[in-house]
This record gives sequence, C-alpha cells and structure tokens, in this order.
Amino acid sequence: MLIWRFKCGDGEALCGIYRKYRTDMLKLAALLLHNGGDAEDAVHDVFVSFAQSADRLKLQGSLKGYLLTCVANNARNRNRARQRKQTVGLDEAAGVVCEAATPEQWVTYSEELRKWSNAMARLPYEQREAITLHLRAGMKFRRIAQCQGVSVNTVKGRYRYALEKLRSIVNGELEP
Amino acid sequence: MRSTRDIEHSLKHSDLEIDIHAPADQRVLSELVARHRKSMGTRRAIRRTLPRPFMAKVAAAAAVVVIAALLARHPLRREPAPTPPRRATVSAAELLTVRRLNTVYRRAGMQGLERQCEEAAERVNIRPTRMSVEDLIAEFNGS
Repeated sequence: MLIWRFKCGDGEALCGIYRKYRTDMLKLAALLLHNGGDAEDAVHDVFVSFAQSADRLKLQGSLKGYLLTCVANNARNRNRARQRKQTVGLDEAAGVVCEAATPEQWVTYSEELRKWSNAMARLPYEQREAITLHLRAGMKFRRIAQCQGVSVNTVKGRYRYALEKLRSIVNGELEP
Repeated sequence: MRSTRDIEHSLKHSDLEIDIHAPADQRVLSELVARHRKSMGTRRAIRRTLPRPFMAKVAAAAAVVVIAALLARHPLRREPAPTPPRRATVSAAELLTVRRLNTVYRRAGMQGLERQCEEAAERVNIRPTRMSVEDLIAEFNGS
C-alpha cells in the first residue's frame, strides 16, 4: 500500500518509507564503508534516486531488500572509487565513524557499532560485504553471489574466511 | 575466547544503535519530498504531451479489434454469388440421336440409356409413368 501510494506521487508515503528503513540502511552502510560521511552520502544517494524513480520502480521482492541492495551497490561503487584515489592509510582513516557529532552530521553511531565497524574495516571488502549482507541484511548467499557476480561457493568461502578473521580480531589474536 | 558461532550470533542480533539528528534528518526528508514532487510533476507534464507506451499499445490493440469486427460484419468486397451450373444447350432430339445413344450405351449401359431418355423427356415436358427407349424414339419420330 505504501509503495502504491508512493508510486502515485504521495509525499507522505515517501516519508513513511524513509522513516521505516533509513536506520537499517545507515547501519549497513556504516559497516560496509567504515566512514560516517560516506555511509550517510550512500544512503542519501539511494533515497534521492528512489524518490526520483517513483513511476519506474518495479519491485520483485520486499522494499527493504531492494533498498538494502541499493545501499550495498552504492557502497561497492564508493569503495572502488576510494581505492582508485586512496591517499590516506587505513590507520589514519580508522575510526572515522566514531568522530564527535557536528551540527551538519546526520547520525551518531553507538560504541558497539563503532567496534564492529573497526573490526570489519580490517577485512577485504568482498569478505566484509558477504558477511554484512548475510548477517545484517538477511540476504541469501545466492542473492549475494548475484550482486557480487561470483559463484555461491565463492560467497560461502568469503563468508567463512570473514567469520574466522573476525573471530581472531575480536579475540585479540590479531593486533588492532 | 569467542567462537565463530558466537561472533555470528552477536553480529546478527546485536542492536547496533544509531542516533539520528532530527534537524539534519528533517532537512534530508524535505529534500527528498521536493525531488519526488518535482520528478512526478515532470513525468506528468511529459505524459500530457506524449502518450504512454502502454496506453498507446492498448489503444492500438482496441482499434485493430474494432476494425476487424466491422470488417467481419460489413466486408468491403462481397464474394460473387455462385453462378448456377450451365445446362447443356442440347435439344431433346439431339440427346436421342443414334450417335449419342451409342456413346451413352458404351459408357453406362442400359441404365445410362434410361437416364438419357428421361432427361430428353424432361426437356420436352413429357412425363410418362413408364416409357421404354423404343417408345420414346417412336414418340420423337412422330410415328
């Protein structure tokens, strides 16, 4: 009903969708990008595209799944762009998510989210994406494989490696 | 020491709270609503000037159906009425010439001769209840 109203041009429906899903989208972006500003920009971009594509929207699954996939795709593009023009080392960039709030800032992240984000930042992006999309977005391995353009077994492998490495980080086996 | 299962469970079920700042949130939302309105306004303006592909397809299909129905009821080219088979313009006397009777006898035997005689009798409106070939020949010869 909300989607139908949104497609008919109802602004209130857009507000409802925004309020309902923005938190999950921001959390996912923060875990994937490990940068508060980038995470906010990714979610903002997804919502802007979503708002402008009301009559072209063709949903095949749930709206939440669609929006989270959009965030994951946007985060992947941002990560690639960041890798191309990377000038700041990971050590310097670490903890950007946990900077103090400024008046312009949209979101403040909890201590636990920062802890997970810092741990995730030490994983290769593909592994980070596999574990985040599976555990936080509730995506099946098959769907993640489609997003990443690899086989299901590759995704399962990435997930297993990521989990093992996270365990090592959390247990202090790897130097922070 | 935490196991991988424990890590999996923690990451999946932990709340990972975030605090959204109301002014920035409201600003983002206003921008989204404005963009949505603008987008819908543009689309409606385009729709007013150009028919939507789907509507155009439906209209074209409806037009084809209507034309087909009209053509079925009022065809532009009527089929010509079938012409009745032309009857042979052969007189009764010619039907009963020796040559013709000979030919018919060779083709169909006595039955053929009987049919030929009946046809000849029809042509001259003679309707005998029973007539043999000899009687008929005698009739036509006027004896």
